[in-house]
Amino acid sequence: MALENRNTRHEDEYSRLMTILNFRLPHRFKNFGLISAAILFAFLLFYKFYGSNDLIVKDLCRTFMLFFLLIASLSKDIVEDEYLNHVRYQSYVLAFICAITYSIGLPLVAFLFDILITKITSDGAINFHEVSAFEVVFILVCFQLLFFETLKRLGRAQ
Amino acid sequence: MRNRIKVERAELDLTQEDLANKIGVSRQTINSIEKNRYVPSTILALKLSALFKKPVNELFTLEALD
Repeated sequence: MALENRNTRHEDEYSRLMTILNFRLPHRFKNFGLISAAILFAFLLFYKFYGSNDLIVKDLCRTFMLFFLLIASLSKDIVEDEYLNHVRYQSYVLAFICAITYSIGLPLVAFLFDILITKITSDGAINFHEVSAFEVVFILVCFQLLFFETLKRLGRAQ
Repeated sequence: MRNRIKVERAELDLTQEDLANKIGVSRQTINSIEKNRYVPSTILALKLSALFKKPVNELFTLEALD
């Protein structure tokens, strides 16, 4: 009885995970997500140089930009089949590796440059560059979309 | 793993697009399988086997490193 209950629990858990894994939005959401994220990105650039330095507006724009990129990332392609699913999983793995490398590598490079410049100019303390969560997630989603399109293009090549 | 999809497709005088439409996948899926960049699932292998009327192990063969 206990074994049966455990098996049922595992089955439920597995089917819940599969539902999340197989969740895809219709194809039209892809362009919507990408265009909305691009508009917000342009607005953020404009706001940085010409707007006031209001943190709430900046944070809201960043959050919505990530949300729209996630929508684009979760959208189906025109013809969605097992090969595209395989390519999508590959792109998530590659993006994950890139994001981790970025979050480890950038502070390290900045730190080394800081040491070198400080040693040359002797103008203050050495700071360790902090990578924000936004930077890492932004890199992760952008790289996923880029790798997905690149792998798809390579698959099309005769 | 090697496969004979390209040969079988040529024998039936099908384009990659035709074959893709017949088994409900994209042309790039057929292209990737023919180029050995992608190993199809059992479901897709069985669909190909039914279409070409050949057993799966005649369409796909293992290589020494597999």
